[in-house]
Amino acid sequence: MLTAALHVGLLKSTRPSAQEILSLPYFDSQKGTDHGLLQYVGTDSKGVRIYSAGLEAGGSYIINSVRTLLTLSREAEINFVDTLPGVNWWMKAGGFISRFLGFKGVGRPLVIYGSVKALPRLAKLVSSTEEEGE
Amino acid sequence: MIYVYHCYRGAHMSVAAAALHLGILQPDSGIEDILKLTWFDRLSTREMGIPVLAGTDSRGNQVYFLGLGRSGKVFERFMQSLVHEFDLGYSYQTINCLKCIAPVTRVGGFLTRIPLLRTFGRRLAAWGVKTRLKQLEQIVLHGQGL
Repeated sequence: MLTAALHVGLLKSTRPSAQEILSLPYFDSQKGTDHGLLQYVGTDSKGVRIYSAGLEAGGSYIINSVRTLLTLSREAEINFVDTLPGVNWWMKAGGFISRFLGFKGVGRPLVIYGSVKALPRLAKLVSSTEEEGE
Repeated sequence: MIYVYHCYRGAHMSVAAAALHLGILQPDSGIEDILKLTWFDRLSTREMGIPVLAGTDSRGNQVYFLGLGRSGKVFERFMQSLVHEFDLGYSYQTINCLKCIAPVTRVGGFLTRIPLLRTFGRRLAAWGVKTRLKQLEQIVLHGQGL
């Protein structure tokens, strides 16, 4: 979600305030049954539609298999970007406390702290993704 | 139509389901028939996420099997979401074979990773699959809308 927000410009810098992060669509709001569903985040400056999806720990298996299966059928112009390597332990712990245990007051500050720390790395991921698409 | 049978490692249940679909296995097949399957107990955890073509059925449909760890449900939602959002016109059916797995197949699958117990683990896994062939056949038929 954070990477998609950086990509479409919903986050203008890699040092956003907590309020800016909390106001992002879908931020810290997914339930288990939402995992796997595409969430439209916005359109980038080149007109490319950007989505996010939560794929849990099996993201790499899912992306590999979906990419293979869709290629078998037709040339789908979909670029899958695995953002899990950019996620740090602050975000994982905060997300678990907020979403799984339901303690938003404890979990969210951890997620936000971790998000701010992760943003420079996620911004690099966006840059490399955009370069690949050119 | 593309049929995708998936389970944890893509080594036992999904292989047997794909074989049932293709008519290579029958609901009353024995342990030896299961052990003879080309792909039975072949894929390792490193190969999870790679769809393998098991064959083409009598109606020309491609039949794949696949290991997805515990991500089967998320995979199904993601595929459905992509196909719907981008209007891909992609005709497919995913079938989760984990719901039929016998505990003994889980144990056998685990033992095959230990070199000294590989042969025993394979037989144990095959025996577990044999006990669930009728259930597997039901989900194979259901997946085909039969």
